[in-house]
Amino acid sequence: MSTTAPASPLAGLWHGPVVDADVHIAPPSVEAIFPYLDEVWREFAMERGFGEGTWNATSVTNTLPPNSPITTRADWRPDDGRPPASDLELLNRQVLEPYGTEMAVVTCYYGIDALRHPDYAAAMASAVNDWMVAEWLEADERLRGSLVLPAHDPVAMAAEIDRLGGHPRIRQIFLPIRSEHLYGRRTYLPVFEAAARHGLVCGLHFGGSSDGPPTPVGFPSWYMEEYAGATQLYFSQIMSIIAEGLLQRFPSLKFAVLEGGFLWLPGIMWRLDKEWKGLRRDIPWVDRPPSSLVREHFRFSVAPVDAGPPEHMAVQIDHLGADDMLMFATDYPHDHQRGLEELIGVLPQATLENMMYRTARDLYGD
Amino acid sequence: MSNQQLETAATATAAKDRELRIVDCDAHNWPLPGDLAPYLSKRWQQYLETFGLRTPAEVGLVRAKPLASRTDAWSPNGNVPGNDPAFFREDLLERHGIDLAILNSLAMAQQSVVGGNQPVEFTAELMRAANEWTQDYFLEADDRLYSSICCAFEDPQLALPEVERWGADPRWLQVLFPFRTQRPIGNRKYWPIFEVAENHDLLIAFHPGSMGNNLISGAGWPSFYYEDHVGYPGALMAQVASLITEGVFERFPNLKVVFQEGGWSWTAPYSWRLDRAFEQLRDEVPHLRRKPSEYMRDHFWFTSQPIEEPERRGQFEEALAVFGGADRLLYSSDYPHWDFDPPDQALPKSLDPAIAEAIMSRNAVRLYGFEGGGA
Repeated sequence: MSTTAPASPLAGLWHGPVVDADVHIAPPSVEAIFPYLDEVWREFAMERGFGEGTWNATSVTNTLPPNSPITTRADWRPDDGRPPASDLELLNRQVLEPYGTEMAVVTCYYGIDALRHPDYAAAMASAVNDWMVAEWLEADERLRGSLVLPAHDPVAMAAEIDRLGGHPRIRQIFLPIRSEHLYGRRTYLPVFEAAARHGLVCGLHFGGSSDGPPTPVGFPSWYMEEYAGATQLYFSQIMSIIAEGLLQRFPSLKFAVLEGGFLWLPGIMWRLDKEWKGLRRDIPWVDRPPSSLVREHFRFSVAPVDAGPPEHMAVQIDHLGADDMLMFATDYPHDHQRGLEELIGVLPQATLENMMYRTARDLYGD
Repeated sequence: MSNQQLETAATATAAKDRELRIVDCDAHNWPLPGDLAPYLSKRWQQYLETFGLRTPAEVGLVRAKPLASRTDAWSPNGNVPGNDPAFFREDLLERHGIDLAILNSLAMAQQSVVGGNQPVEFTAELMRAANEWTQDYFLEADDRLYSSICCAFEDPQLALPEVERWGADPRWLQVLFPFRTQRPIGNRKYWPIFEVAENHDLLIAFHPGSMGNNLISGAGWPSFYYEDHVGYPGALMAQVASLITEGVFERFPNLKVVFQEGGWSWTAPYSWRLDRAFEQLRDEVPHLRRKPSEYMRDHFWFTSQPIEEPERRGQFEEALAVFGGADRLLYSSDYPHWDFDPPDQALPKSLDPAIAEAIMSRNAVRLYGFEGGGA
C-alpha cells in the first residue's frame, strides 16, 4: 500500500462513488499462469515463447504496438521493467486509491483470441481466468472479472463460460470486436445462451483476430488509421447483434461497448432506424426501432472520450436520448483518460451521476 | 479544370445558370451487356459472347427489390431502370423538375461486384464501353446531364487512359470508385489516378458498391441487406482514415472527395476521434501537417440521400451545426433505387430556406463549377 495518497485525478470534477468499467490486468510473465495450466501447455508456452515478456502477449497478437503512447500511459509504465498492469499493489496505488474506486471490472486480454490451436487456446483462456480469479478477484473485493474466451470455437467459449460463469465475482465475458464472424450470427448462439444463463454482461472491446483485414477495404498502413477506424467494427457488431434478433432471443442480454467511443452514436442510431423502416420485412423479429434496442441493451465506456468542441459534444450527448448509457472507465493502463474533464463539463447532472457509478453498478454489481 | 475548360463549361451552362434550382448529384444510368458489346474490341466481344458476365460475388446478400430499384422505374417498353435514356429523362428530370443531374453509371458494378473474378483488361474495356454509351445516349442527348468516369481503378495503368480521355471534357466531373476497394483508397497504388484527377480538376467520388476481395465489415459478412445498407458509413470511415493518414491531401492539396449515400452526421465525431488519435500518435505520421478534422473540412463533400432523419424536430439543424454547416451537402435522388429521395421530400420541411437552397443546388454549382467560376 502506498503511504501517501496521491491527489485524486477527479479533484474538482466529481465527488462521489466511482465505478471503473474497464481496467486491464496482465500476468507479470507467462510463468505466472503456469500453476493453472497443464504440463503439456506449459511446455507449449515455454518452448514457443508465449508473451515474450510484453504485457499483451505480442508474440501472438499485433493488436497494440507495445511502445505506443496510447498502449501504456507513461507514468503507469513500471520503471523496474515489469509489464504494466501486472501487479495488484500497483493497480491499487495507480488507480483504485487515487480514483476512490468502489468497483472495477478487470480483464486480462493477453492475446488469447489470436491462438488458432483449439486446445491450446481453450487451456490458455482457462488458465488466465483461473489466475485472475485466484490472484486478483479473491485478493481484492472491489474487483469484478471479465472472462477471456477461446474466440475461434463458440462451443469451447460456452464451455468456459459455464465453467466459471457461476463465480459470484465473474460479471462479464470479453468479446474482442475483430471476431471471426459478426457476433449476431447464429454461429455464436451457444456463447450468448451461456452468457444469458449466467447473467453475464457481454463486453465488446478493441482488439481481436478475424479471418480478414480489420477494415472493409483491406489492411491499413498506419496504426493510427487502424486504431481510429475501429469505430467501424463497433458499429458493425452493434448492428449485427440487433439485426439478427439476438436481443429478442435473449431479452436479458446487456452489452458493454468498451474503448469504442460513443459520440458517433446518434447519427448511426438515426440511420439504423431509418433503414429499418424501409427494410424491416427482412428482419421482422426486430419489432421496435433499433435505437430503442441500443438504449436498452448497450452501455458505453467513456475511455477514450474522443472529445470534440464542448458545444458540439453537448449536442451529441443530448442526441443520445438517454441519460444512462455512459460508464466511467480509466482503461488502465492505456492512455485514454484525456477529454474526461471536457466531457464532464457538458454533462447534465443526472447523466454525470449515472456515468460515474450508477449505470455500471447496476450492470456489474451484485 | 483549366481556365480554358472552365470557360467552355461557362459557355455551355451560362444560359441556364439562373435556372439551376435543383441539381441531382447521384442518379444512375445502367448499360446492359448488349449495350456495351458494340463498343468492345473484337477480342472482348468474343469473350463476352462466349462466357458472358459472371454473377456478382455478393449475390447471396438478398436485396430489397429486384436491382434494388423502384418498380415504377422500369420503362414502359420493359427496359431495366436507368437503361432507356428517354424514359430516364422523363421519369427523373421532367417529372421532378431537376435542372441538372450527375450520372453514376451502374456499369461500375460490373467490375466491382465481381472483384477479382474477371480479367482486368476486360474490366477496362467494359468501363471504356460504359463511358462511351453514356456519352452517346445520355450526354449528347441532353445537356442537363453530366457524368462520372468509370475506370478499372484497381489497375491504375489501365485506368489512366480512360480518366485522361474524359478529364478535359467539362461534362465529365469525377472519377467513380465503389466504397469498398481492394486496398484502403489512400494507398499509394491509387495515387496515379489522383494525380491525373487533380490535374484535370476532377473530383473523386465514392458510391456504394463492392469489391469481391474484401468483407463488408472488419469482422466478416453480415446476414442481411439491412446491415449492408445501414453499414455504408463503415467502409467510408476506413476510407477517410486512409486518405488522411497516408498524406493524400499533402501530396494532392487540390483533390476533392465526394461521398454518396453514406450519410454525414457521423463525420464530425469521427474526425474528433482522428484528431485525438493524431495528438497521441503524431510521431507515427509526421507527414501530416494539419489536424485530421481540417483535412476533412476542406476536402470532403457528401450527397444527401438517404438523408438523416433524426427523432425530434430541431435535431437535424443541431446535427448540421456539429457537421460544420450545410456548405458541403449536395442534394441527390439516387434514382432509380428503392430509397429514392424526390427533391420535394429530400430535406426536413423545417429547414431554413436559404440552407435548403444551398443543398439543392448552390453547393453543387460551386463545387463542380457549373457557373464557370468554381468554388
